[in-house]
Amino acid sequence: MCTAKTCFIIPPHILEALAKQGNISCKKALNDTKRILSERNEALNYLLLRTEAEKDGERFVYDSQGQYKQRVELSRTEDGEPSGDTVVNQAFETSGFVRDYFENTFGLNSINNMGMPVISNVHYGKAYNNAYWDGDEMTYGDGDGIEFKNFASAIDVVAHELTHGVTQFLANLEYEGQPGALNEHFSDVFATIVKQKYFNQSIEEADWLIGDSIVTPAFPGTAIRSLKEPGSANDFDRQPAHMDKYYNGPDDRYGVHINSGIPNRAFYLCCQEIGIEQASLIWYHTLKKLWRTSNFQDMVDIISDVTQKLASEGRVSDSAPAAVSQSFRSVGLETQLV
Amino acid sequence: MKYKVIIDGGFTGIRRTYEGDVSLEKEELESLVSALKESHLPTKPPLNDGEQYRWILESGEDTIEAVFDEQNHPPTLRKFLDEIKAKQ
Repeated sequence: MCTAKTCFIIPPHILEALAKQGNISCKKALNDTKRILSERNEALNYLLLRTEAEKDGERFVYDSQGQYKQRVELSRTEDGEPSGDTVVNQAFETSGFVRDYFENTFGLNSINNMGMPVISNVHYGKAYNNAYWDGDEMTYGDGDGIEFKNFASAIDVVAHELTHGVTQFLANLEYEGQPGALNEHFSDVFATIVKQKYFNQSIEEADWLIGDSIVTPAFPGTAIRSLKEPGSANDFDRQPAHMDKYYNGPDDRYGVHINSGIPNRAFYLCCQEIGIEQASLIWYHTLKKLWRTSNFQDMVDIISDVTQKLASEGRVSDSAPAAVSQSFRSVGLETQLV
Repeated sequence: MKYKVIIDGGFTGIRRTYEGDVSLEKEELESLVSALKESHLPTKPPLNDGEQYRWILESGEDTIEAVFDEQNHPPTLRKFLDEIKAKQ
């Protein structure tokens, strides 16, 4: 089978179907295929960017100057002087902290493990209440100043966006429905982990909130999301904490920011049992095993398998497999592996 | 002209709706209608945390509805949206 750009001996949809039925070699072939395609695309992108990036994972911060455009003015580089603009310096510092977390913890060489430049755009648009990852770089609005402020300054927002990049290169989870909710879940998980590292907090001290520092007192809530109590962060928070409240509608690309509350709650519960260090290792290795169309059940099956393997290698405690299973059972998800 | 803009998705995941009634010069209205008629969903995968914009304009007996992603939201519509957001 051939598309305009790629040929496959076995079409990807057949590999995906076999992978879902538990065929490990098909999962591996599928993951390898995706990885090869991603690496090839990234290599092409990297060649285009090479004049800018001579070192691994170099940071570049651009100022959009209030326009809806990226890369308007280069304001800070890895070896350059600090900018006179606080937001530029904040984006530089927070993106470096997140990049270094992934490198120091998992040996990841920047976002794609190939030294991809870490590019941030700040001051995007007018009163723009958003931040996003576009496949190559991060973009942050200043917020409207009424309910939201300065998205680039928040370590959890930056970690969330940069993790979308990591997810893209490790699992390439599609951005819709359950794969999209898992994509959002991993971004919230590593946002929380990085935030706790950044503030040097224990899991007891942590608030488990996402986006608490970008909302103003006028905002009707304390944050955007809560991993501890999904659905409680603000008046608009529709996140369920259990599968029995699963959102089935079309909003938000079929609930990517809504249903992520379910695995988010499982992660929080798991951390209470085995600590955040072991949980982060388990979640990272699980992400590496997932594929584009993975759903919640795939996640539970894979994370069970990954945790068993890490426990057998002595990298997590013997109690971790039971803790992971119980955490997901508590939100209505059980492994189907025997 | 009546307008309604629904912004969905984004990092916050909070749906926001802007609606009202404005009087526009003929050229300005034509420019908006033209931008809406160029509507098409992008062929690229959606941006992670990108917003989606649903526009509904009612002028006379005509109703035009269109959906845009972050990548293909026309500058004319962005400018109009910024103006109505600033007034609220």
